[in-house]
Amino acid sequence: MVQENRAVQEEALQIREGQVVVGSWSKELMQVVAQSARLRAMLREDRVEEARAFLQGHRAEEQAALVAFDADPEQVLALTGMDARGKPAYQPAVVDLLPAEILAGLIAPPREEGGFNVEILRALSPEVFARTVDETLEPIYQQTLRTQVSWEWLEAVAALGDAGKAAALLRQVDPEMLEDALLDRLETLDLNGIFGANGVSVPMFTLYSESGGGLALPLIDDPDADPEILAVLHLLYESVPDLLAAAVRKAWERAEEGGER
Amino acid sequence: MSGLVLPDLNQVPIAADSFLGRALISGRQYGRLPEYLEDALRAYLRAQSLAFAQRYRTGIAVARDRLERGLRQAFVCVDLGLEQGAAGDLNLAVELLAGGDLEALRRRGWEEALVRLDRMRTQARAWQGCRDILFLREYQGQLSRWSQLVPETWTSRDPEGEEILLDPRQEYRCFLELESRLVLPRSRPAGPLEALFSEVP
Repeated sequence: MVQENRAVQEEALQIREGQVVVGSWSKELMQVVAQSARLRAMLREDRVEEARAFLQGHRAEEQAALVAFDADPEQVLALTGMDARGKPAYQPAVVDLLPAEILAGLIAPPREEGGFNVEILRALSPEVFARTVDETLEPIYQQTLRTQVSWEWLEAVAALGDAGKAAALLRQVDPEMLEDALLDRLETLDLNGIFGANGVSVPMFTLYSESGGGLALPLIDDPDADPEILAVLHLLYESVPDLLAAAVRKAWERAEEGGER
Repeated sequence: MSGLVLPDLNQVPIAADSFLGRALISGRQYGRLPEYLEDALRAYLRAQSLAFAQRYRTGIAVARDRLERGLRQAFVCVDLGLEQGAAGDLNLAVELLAGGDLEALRRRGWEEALVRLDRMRTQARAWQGCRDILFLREYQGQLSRWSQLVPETWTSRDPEGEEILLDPRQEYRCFLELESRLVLPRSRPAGPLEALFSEVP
């Protein structure tokens, strides 16, 4: 998976020695800047149809460069898949070529602008999603921050409300991301509690055991639990129960080790 | 607007009030700096700012306040590193800048900042239990701030408990001022001032 992510990473937009490079495509930086200024002028003057035709007249790599160079990447990205009637949409082939930092900014816009942009996630391939998650987590040294950012990724995926797409995305990411994300939420899972059904009671943690394979996870219906945490956990139950069980197990072990130190 | 928003580098005071600013002005004035140096410095600070924000990100997107903090920290480090490397000599500073090794300057500045902040914290904690400080009550705020310092992050807490970012240049100047003012009470004849201390509530 690491090799796969590296290949995907090399496809994404980069600037090298005065050239904008996307995979095997490249163009002079100043030419791209000039095109970007032209596109921005059209948008400023509300010549949206002209801007759409101009943008869609280029290959996906060049469109990705124009999205990345614009002051409002979302506005330009929405033109890449716009139809003739003016209905905006994101072109998946373009989305997949954007650098991780641009994608991260598009998926999680500033808080005052509202929640996650799930349409970007919908357009994103699982490989590029994994690369984006990796690149946002890789520079972080502090465990608390890794946990915070990993959890926000899960919240974004949960906001999709689509178990199928969520499973496709999450199966591609490094499983350690799930462990990191769950480290601070183990309390909600009440692993030391007792689960009872049909007259049989078992310790909760056994339901997450390796032999269980995540096939019989207990649904949490604790009225005191944070509904936002529950929403994420329920989506994980639904989409990747086996990954969730493994991640809970490992996160629990890590939390125990941390507590003993 | 969505996407990555970098702070305006013009807001960073690369001006005459910093050693780096003075060296740039002097180098520009006498044509001793490469033409591209200021652009390179700005690009370098921007890259450092982004690297900081990525390292300390708290969510999927990098936060603007982290970008700003990273930018300020990188600038202060280069400024301090240059001042240390040139031992305050502006001519030598221009030579160092012309050499273009901004990373070496930043590293040196980072180390210097760490040493200063660590010394301030240790000393402030020692002073807090010391009687001589009673003569200098106007420094209580600073003492409280310095004693709670985290040198690695340049942060402390204000009286309300909010996190604040300290500048190791300005704060250290203030620290040295306090240190020099403490010389007087420490050189006092012990006997006559004991009575005075006993009257201090």
